Amino acid sequence: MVKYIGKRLLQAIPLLLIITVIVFCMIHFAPYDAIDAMTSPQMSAQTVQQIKAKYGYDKPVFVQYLLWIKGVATGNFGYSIVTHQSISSDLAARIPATMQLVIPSYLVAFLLSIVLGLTSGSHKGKWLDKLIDGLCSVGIATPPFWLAMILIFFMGYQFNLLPILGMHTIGMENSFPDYLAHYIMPFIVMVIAFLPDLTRYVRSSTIGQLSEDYVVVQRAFGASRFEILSKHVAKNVLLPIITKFGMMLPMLVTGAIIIETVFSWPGVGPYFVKAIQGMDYPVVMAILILSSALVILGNLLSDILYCATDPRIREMR
Amino acid sequence: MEKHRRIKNMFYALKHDKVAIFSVIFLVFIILLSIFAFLIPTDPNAIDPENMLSAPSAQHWFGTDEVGRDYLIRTIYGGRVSLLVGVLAMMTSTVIGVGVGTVAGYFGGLVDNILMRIVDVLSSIPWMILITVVSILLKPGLQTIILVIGLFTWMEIARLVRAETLSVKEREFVMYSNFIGTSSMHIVIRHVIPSVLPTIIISATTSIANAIMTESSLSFLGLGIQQPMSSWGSLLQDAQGNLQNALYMALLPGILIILTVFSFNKIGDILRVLIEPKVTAGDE
Amino acid sequence: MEENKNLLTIRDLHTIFHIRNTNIEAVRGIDLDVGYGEIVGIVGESGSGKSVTMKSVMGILPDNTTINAEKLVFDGADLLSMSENERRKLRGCSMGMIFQDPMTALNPLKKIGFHLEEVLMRHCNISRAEAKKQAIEALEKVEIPCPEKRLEQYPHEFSGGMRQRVLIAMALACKPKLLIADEPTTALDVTIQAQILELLQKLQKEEKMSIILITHDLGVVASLCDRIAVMYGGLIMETGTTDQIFYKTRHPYTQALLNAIPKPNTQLKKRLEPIPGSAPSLAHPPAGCPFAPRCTFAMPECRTSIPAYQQFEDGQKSMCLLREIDTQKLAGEGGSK
Repeated sequence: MVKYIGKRLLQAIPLLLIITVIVFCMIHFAPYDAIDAMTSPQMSAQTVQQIKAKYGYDKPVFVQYLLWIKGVATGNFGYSIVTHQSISSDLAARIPATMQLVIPSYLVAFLLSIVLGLTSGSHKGKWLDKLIDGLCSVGIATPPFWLAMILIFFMGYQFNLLPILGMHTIGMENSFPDYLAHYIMPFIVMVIAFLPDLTRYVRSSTIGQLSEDYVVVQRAFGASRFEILSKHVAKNVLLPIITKFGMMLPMLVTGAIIIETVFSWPGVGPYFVKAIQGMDYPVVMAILILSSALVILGNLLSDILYCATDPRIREMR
Repeated sequence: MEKHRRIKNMFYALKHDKVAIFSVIFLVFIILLSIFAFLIPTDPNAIDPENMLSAPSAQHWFGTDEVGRDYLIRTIYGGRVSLLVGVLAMMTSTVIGVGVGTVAGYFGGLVDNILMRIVDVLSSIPWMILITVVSILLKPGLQTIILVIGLFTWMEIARLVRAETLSVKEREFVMYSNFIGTSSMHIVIRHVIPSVLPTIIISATTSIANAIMTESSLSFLGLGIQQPMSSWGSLLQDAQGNLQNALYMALLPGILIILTVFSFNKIGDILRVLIEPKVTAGDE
Repeated sequence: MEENKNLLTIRDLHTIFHIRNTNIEAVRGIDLDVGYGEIVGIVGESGSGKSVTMKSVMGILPDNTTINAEKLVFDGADLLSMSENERRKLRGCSMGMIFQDPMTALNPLKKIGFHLEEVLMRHCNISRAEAKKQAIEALEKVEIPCPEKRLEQYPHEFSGGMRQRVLIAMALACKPKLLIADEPTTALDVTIQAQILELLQKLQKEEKMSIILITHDLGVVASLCDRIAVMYGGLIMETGTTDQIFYKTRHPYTQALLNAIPKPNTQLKKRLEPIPGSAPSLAHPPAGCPFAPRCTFAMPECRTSIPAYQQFEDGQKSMCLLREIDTQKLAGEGGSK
């Protein structure tokens, strides 16, 4: 199995390199870039040239690319054109904030989805199933940011129960209850955003398992429906889902862009959106590369998890 | 006989599923409304500074926005844009997906390899990020958003079509066709496309639903539809600024998005009954 | 009374599937008796209702079915008046069932040991350690070598024949009085088929249990069964001892089945004789005898109403208006060997 991991890693590297090239080209050949944001037509060519040199834009493209790659590989993502701050340190501050939002909400959604999905799947066609599945369909159709706005209106404006911006009230950075008050709304929206998809997945997996032959056989051997569900179906359903955990990896950076923006939660989201609006290319590139790398790693992780847990595949590798 | 049973099953499912009936009716209604919006006498751009941000009333059923425009008519025109984006983006991604899929599946070898690597690469970049980035590289607006969504959502269809093409290619009648000299394009068109059509139709409905969601998100962030054009997403962006005073501005477009996306997905589900025989599980 | 002598008594069993807005009556009135220690074969084409009959007795049909019977008695207990929980206790314990496809009958993600131990612990109320011991014994009984090692393996590490042996071991683990084998060898190679049948025979003698063997293969019942019931269109056409069925055939369907078997000593130029026509639709069953449309001997009365059973000596019964079959009338050589 180690061989398999090694093989996949080797496959992933060229993919990653190609992505870096594409990202770099996309940004570099864009019609409007950060230099344009800093200069105006009135400036002399000399000034423009000086500004370009300052940020390394005067070197040949290829060299720029190599320099950038070298930086990325050593963890240095360069500097924001707009704020002049180190992107790495900005990200280092912001990623934890995003993680605080994404990880607990995903886990909660995950657990809820297992319960709901198993229940729904095993009562297929009955009213409970229709209710749960119906709610999932509505959930999938609901834009999370809209839900956020509605919550903000009622909890924030109308009933003044919860704060609607940011992570802390100024001056209360060390207060945990204050943090919680800020935390709860984005958390709920995130859970609701993750839930329907996961539930549907569990549900269809459950239905699939319940129609397998071994279920009838188990019934013939006297297993109760609950036993079948808990001892056989649940485990068989959980297995492929655990592999979905691998896909959580990229979400640690980009899973909550819109929600964070709506709630002004100081994660990667608003940072990214602001960079986009300000044409801050180094920041955009950094986040692009980071998230792509995480997607590739996430896929790899999923594959490995699947290999490790399914006895049928373990042998083959 | 088989097809007859499946059609019967679909209508049975449709008839007894009140939600599905509602979805169909709602979609027909909203599409007709969008097409014939110009017949409604209210002007979406008529500014009325005296009636800014007024709540729903007899005169303005959905109230007015921050510069006094009738919100109902703006929502209707917004819907028109959202639906347009949805359909056109779907068509773009379907055309690209089917094209790439058939070419990759049919020609195999190096061509297939390259195309599939491209699919892998594009699938590796979180699409939200990709779409956001590209949409600022191009001038923001209606065409951009359609193009961008279409360009980055074709991968799944391409994979499906490629798989189908590969399996059709293996079937004997294709080998015979080759033998008697029918051209390869002819074979592809005659055999692959019809067998892939059902899958494409189903994925088209979800495609539209997803495109509408994506467009709403992007427009909400200010990266999609630009003023003076409005879509449901951009209306929601305005609504965010006025949230405290005008909840109705957020409620309406949001509810319409939910209903539309839900309905398209529901139609997709019903079609799946027709097209994939295994879905009517439980009998025989 | 009759019931005390028999392990299983079925009277007038009807099983109806409710699919969408149609009702499909898969079993349309079956009477069957199985004695203690007896091997009974149920023979019929696909769709004849033989599997459904036994699944009804076991009670493992899906929820959209209705089961009606005048009498359903197992080992002196009335199954119809039992709760689901009580019936569940019987399954896998005093009545066991094995199925056609051993490849999909086991949970691929659980070890063989788990499968066996679970059944043992569930019904025999023993500890896991004790269950493990008995599991090893069960595997030895079905002639699986190295049982200790095998317990730790997964289903995909077993061949089809081996998996079927494991399933037999599971079914016999709690020493059932009745084993229902639903086409146990259909999915296996011919050589393995013979082995499995031999195994069943040996185990039956050792455990002194009754077996109901469901199959479409007359050759299988010939070697194993004491009595045979022939089913068609949801009804039993004929019952009798193996000798009676093969040598004193009373029902045209049975005769046609026997004729359809290719025989090794036939003249080379003879064609095989399939039964013309196809099985009746269960959604719209015919009014009369289900076999009438395909029967060489059909008379007008056959199509209007289902004939009553005719009794013959030594318990043989046939659901046909004929008392004798004119074997010459059926194209081909005489039906019996």
